[in-house]
Amino acid sequence: MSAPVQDPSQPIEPFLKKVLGSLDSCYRSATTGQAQFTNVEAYALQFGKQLKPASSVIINGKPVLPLADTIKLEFQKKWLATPLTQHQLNSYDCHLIPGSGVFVIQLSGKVRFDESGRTRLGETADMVSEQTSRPVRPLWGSWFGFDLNMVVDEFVLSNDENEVINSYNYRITYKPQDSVIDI
Amino acid sequence: PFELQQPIFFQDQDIQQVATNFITNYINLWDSNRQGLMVLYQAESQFSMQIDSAHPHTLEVINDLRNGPSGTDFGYYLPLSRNLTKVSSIKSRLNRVGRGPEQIYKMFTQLPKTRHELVNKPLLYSMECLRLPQLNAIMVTLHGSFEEVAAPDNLEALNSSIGGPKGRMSHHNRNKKVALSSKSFDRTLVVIPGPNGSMIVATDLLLVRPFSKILAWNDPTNK
Repeated sequence: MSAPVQDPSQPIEPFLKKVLGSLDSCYRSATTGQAQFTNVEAYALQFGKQLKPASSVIINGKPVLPLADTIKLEFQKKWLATPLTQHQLNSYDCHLIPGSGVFVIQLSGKVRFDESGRTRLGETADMVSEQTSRPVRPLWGSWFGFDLNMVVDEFVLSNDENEVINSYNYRITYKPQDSVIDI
Repeated sequence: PFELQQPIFFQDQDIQQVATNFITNYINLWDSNRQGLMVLYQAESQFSMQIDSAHPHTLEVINDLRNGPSGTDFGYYLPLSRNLTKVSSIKSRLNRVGRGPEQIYKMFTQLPKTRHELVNKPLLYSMECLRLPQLNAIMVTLHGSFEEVAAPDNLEALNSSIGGPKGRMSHHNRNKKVALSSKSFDRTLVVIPGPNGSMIVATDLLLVRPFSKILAWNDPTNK
């Protein structure tokens, strides 16, 4: 077998950062408090937009099952209901499986959640909430550890904005004891 | 919003049978006789290992007497680690993947000998198994921890990395013994059915991180 001359893994890192970045994006701008999306739907649709509509999505050992929608939409709806997140990529490795056209990617890192009690849309369950026009800052909790495994089309090398993720297996591997968050 | 987590996921019952047997035997051989695993690897199989030393973990690992309070020593792993956020030279990125049984076995002998307690303490582990229709394969991901019981058989990579020109502390390290300790890990195997009911490991990705006693997948209230 001849050694490959090019390193195909180079463009994977920006792709992974885009995927994680889409999960972490805020509905409102942190500086102005203005909505950055035309509506909530547009906001939700950009979470993991690189997922294929029928990809397998497993979160902490539970599959996301499509009810009325595709798996992708179901995932996006559920992710919209989680608190705001911040992911950091610590490590990744990947193999292009010969003849298959897919990469298997394993990545790990840390993630923390907004523990202020607000949803991603900035709403709280409090009946009386102080009305304020200044931007609300998230209260970040302690870091969790996560491990994510994906199977991604080789096509990602030429266009990492497209739907290229076939399977998405996300597992929290470490949960700090001072956190009340469960997704 | 997501359903309650569960430690173990199987896409269907067939997978459950196959994957459970496979991973139990695999880990058993990994601990006792890595040569015995080589029948699973073919010319196009790939293996690589990465370290995530910054992965969140508990800080009270100090009760490991051999290790002392010095933190986790990744000395044996560093020369092989293919954490692609840290390895930038194309040569290293390519060289740190084992291709084919010969290269893969060599890398296996450069990793410390281990003991997993998959059979005795299954609660320490969590696993997901799913089908990859594109490859007619199954993907098995195992999360858990192991104890290092002995230094690797082959110290070539370790010694060359220490003696190498880029080893800033080469004088200090030359005779230093790397402390053995427990580690946590995530390992992803893509397994393809071969002829006559055999199995072929197409891809094997091992991630090693600091040991953590706290397991995210078990509800602490029923421990």
